[in-house]
Amino acid sequence: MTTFRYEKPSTLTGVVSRLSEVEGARPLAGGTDLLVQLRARALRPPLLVDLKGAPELQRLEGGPDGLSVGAAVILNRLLEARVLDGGYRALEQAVADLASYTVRNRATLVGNVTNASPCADSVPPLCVMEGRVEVLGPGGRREQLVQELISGNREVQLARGELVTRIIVPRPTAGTWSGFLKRKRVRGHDLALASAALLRDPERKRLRLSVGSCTPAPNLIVLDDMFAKPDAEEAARRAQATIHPIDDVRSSAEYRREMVSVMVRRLLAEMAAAV
Amino acid sequence: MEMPVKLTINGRTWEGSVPPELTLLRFLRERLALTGAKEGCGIGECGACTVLVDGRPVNSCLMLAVEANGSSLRTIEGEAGAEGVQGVREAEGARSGGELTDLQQAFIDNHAIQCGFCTPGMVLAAQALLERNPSPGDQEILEAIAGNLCRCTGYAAILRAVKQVAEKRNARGER
Repeated sequence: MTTFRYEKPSTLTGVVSRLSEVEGARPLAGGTDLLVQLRARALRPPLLVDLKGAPELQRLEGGPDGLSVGAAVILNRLLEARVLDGGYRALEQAVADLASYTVRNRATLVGNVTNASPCADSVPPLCVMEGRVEVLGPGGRREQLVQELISGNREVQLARGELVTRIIVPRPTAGTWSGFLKRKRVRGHDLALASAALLRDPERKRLRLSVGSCTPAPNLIVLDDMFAKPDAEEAARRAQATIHPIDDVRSSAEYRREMVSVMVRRLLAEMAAAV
Repeated sequence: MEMPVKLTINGRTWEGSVPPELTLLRFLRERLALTGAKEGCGIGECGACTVLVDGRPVNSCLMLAVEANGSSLRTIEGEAGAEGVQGVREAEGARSGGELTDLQQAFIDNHAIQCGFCTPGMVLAAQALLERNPSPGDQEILEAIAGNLCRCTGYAAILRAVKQVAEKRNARGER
């Protein structure tokens, strides 16, 4: 483990100041990705700024205005609060199967997104739900779609001193259906070797699909043109056209491709049965 | 530069300072001589390092000791009413005593322990489950211990032990 300084500001302003003042300073929320990287010496930050002391970052809200998940909110708290019950089904399914219950007592939704692993389970659901990040930095405040924040494998479009303070998910329109499937090697704690999220919005006549673990950056496939008559084979074909799966310890590329088609078909069948 | 830390461990207060990069796991094992928590992988995948922080099971290999400042910690040593804190170099040779919990006894009775390496973490994960859900179904038990890998038992005996305890506690009207 590398050595570093540690600070825990008691305000969001304090957090943002320290992250911009100290070059290479990194935010610490759950630490479930960061500590692994520190241990492997993949990162050597001079300073860790603990986010958990800033009350603003602990806020969790789910209501008529949508969902707001602060950067320090642990995943189990997100599940226990039942704010995902109202139409955020794909996100709820993804979070409920992320890592393990024990990891979810520390890991955060913002951390899952900003770590930007291609296998991040929350990303496909957030993409089909038009989830956004709120970013605070020396230049002020901005919002960005999750699929625009993440530009590649562990690459996020954040300038020095910028912090993702929360994830915002617009309230789904009434009648929206979504679903998420995750293919793992084991039934327990495992990364996705492939995943898929599907969303059907009857009010705006949208059908959106996102495949996980098969591209370096987030993947979003627009199937709006088949909203009235979904075609599983065409949807699977379009998914195949967008993905670049690799061979790795978890799976062969060939199996990933196969599983993507299977999951697309299953999600469309599940959707047809539900709506 | 060391950071001040004050926490409770198995009901007793500990106050001192720690280097920022010291993990909670190493703090427990090396500073408190509480070697029940084990390092099986060091990256939060095996659960052998599982301890309870403010009632929640966590992988102590993925926490910094300084992050536990202000928290209430429970390790396996505290479950049976043992002497949970030996302090820094104090109580040399102190032995843990006390009666095993019903869950610990159930693990023994059901042969849910072979090498024992996963056991401290497994027992704490199961205990935390029963504290938040006194009547778990099989799937709920398996989900709760999915972060605790066991290479020896094949999990069936562990599942039996946890179910047995849940049934007995519920029959006695306990939560």
